[in-house]
Amino acid sequence: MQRGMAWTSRVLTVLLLATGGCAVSADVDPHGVRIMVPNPPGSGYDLTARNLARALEASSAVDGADVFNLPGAGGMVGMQRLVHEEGNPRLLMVMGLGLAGAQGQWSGDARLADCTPIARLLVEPNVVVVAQDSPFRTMADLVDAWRADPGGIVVGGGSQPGGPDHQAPLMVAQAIGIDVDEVVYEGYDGGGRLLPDIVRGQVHVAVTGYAQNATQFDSGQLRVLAVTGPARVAGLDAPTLQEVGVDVVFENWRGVLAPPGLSPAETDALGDLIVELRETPEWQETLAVNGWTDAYLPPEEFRDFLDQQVVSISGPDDG
Amino acid sequence: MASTATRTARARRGLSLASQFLILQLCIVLLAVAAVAATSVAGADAAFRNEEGQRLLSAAENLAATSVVRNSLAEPGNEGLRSAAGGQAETTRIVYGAGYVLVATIEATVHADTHGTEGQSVPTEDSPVASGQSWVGVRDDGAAHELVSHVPVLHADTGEILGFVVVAVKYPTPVQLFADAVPNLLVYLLLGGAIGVVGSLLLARRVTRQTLGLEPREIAGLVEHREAMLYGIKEGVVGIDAAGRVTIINDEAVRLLGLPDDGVGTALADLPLEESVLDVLAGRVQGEDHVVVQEDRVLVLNRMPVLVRGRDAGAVATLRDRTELTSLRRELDDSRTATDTLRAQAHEFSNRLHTIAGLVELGEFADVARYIHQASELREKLVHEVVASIGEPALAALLIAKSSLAVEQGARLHVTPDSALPPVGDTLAYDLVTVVGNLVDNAIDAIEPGGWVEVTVSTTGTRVDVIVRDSGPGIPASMVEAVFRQGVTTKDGATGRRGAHQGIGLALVRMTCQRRGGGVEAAGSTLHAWLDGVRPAPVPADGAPPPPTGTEAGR
Repeated sequence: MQRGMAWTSRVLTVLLLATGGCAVSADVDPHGVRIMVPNPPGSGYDLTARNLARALEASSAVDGADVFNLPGAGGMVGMQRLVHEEGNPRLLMVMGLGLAGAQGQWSGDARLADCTPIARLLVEPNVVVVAQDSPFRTMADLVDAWRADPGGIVVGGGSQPGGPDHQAPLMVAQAIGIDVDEVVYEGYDGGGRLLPDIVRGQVHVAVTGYAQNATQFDSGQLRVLAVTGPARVAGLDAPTLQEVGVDVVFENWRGVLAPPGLSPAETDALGDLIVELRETPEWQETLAVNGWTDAYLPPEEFRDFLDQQVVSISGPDDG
Repeated sequence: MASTATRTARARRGLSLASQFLILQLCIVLLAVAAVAATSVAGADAAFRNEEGQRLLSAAENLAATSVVRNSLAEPGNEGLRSAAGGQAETTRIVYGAGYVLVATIEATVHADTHGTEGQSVPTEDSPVASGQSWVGVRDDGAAHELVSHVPVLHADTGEILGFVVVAVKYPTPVQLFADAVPNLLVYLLLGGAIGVVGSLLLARRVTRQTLGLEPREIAGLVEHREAMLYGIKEGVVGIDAAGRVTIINDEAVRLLGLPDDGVGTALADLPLEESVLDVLAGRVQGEDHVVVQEDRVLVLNRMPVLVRGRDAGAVATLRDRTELTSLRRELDDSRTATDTLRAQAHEFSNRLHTIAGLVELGEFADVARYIHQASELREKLVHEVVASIGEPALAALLIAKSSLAVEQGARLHVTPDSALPPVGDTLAYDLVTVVGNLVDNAIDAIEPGGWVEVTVSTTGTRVDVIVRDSGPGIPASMVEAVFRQGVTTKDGATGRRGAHQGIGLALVRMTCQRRGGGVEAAGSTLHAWLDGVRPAPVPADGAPPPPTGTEAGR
């Protein structure tokens, strides 16, 4: 409400300036929110952002929600842009564990801690996948082959090194007694181009988000060997890692950040958007369809959570 | 004739009610359409900035994130990349239908674009794009009025700001905005106008029907005219609505009813009026020409119910002052009484002459002498009886006349010996004649042949008491009060001598008595009236007319 009035008054100001005739140029402040995806289309972030925009528009809490992709450096270019957009109360960036991990390899000066946390939205289990014609029929096949020749198995993932798709296989390797330094990992930003390489056999096994590849599981191009989460994913015939004797539980999470320098009121307004979002049937349906679990954290708690994540991920690498 | 006059009058005054409605309605419709158009343009302008701004930003963001643009800006010397970036910009321009799209360096010079302006500087004004923020704004440098978006291009690996992209569209003119906002404005206008015209015509027709086809000025004129008429007529007029309130009353009615003010809006029951007047005004009694007494006036009331299209809309009552008419009638009655008396006397006289003639022819002269003696003695006795006690000549004459009348009807009227009345002056005498005359008339009417009427007139100080008794049945106790009000009589209407005048007599008596500070009461066949104000008139010594009395001046 307050936000709406503020926008209206801004639009009016612009109108007055524009109709005044003396101004050479005038800012225009389009309504709605813009959601930045810090990696290419087709990624888990992209999927999250587009579902988020759809549900936000349905909630009528915003006058339009627009998604754009700004890939680069495992999401850090997007975060750099977010920091540049300081004070812009109508920009959100979808991010997750991968971004928190990418910060470790980042040479730029933008930091997660600069941004304004808005909410953690969801957690998503990763899946261990192979091509349909892969010799690995079960997780046990993979474990045996990997133990036998750790360097001969190429592991792919949608994250930069340090991201969730990288962390998960490292944890699996550790659990089955493989030296993590021997693991061969190929990172694909956002995971969009990972898929063809799995199918071609250039990547033997991949750990990736479930939702963004769900159609490939259904069409039979990819086979899921295991789910990394604590429970099976509804509608997917695959065991958890623990079920097949690999003692690893791993879940990716996603949330939204806003630029730095927002007033408390602006932060609250964005926070309220997410609160409204979670009440929409569209969002509930999105969660169910994508195998996502609602893991909402409000801004303050999300900030604390982010601090822990950055430490826990970048700590070992830095050290 | 009348319609010609009306038409001429209407033409002179200009517009008819319908035309005024129509013009007013059209003005309102036009104003509304203008207001709608103005808001629409403002709304369209805001919508254009918002929607087009979002679209331009989207286009610019997508272009800025393409690797060819990033790489080209990262390697400014690479002409291949530069032309590829130009191609990408052109693609964006076509896909988004933008006016122009260009890629600019961080120094704000054109790096690649779609129409060969490389190297020219790009105006950034207040755009914060150089610090990495996107921007949408309206630019108007005189030559071009456009909506522009700026989006920074960041290095794909380092996030360094390399430059920015510009996507712009031409800003629509107000006419275009207007056309976009209200594409069917003309239709709305015509529709609104048509509805307005039809509506005002219908309204005008309805109003005209309700006002009986009269224009407002005519209505006003009519009202003024009627008002003037109402106050101009000599009769009293009272309008009463269906709820029994006075809606209109003219000065004459106020005067006749003796109201303190016009009392418009007051309920009838709250007006200081006699019960009988209220009965007529409220329609509780039926009939025409109700004769009523209000204070010291005799009024004739007529009440006409007003029906408007079959519904009761109240009534109009007219009042005529009958006081003078009643007086005239009184006098007429008196002279008729005198005529009757003379006729009766003539009849008696001729009877006696016949008797005398018969006796003379028979030669009974002694009987003739005795008969004449007896007759004159009877007459003298009556006159003596009256004159001895009633000193007022007018009253005495009346009583003598009435007694002749009574004799003719086979009855007897006599004045009791204890009666005593000195001469009282003309005005009181006149009132006494009214009182006694009416009481005696009533008594004579009430008795059968062979009955009697007894009159006593006495004075006590300044008070005169009149008691009339008769041998008739008397006034029934239940009607005592009623007979003193107007319009009620115990006489049989068919045989009453005075037709419409009947019933007014006793009311008149009471009115006369009350005016003189007295009253009248009835007990059976005895009626007792008393008046005040006896001022014994000085007895004229030489037959000169009496000087005016104080009683006269006090009236």
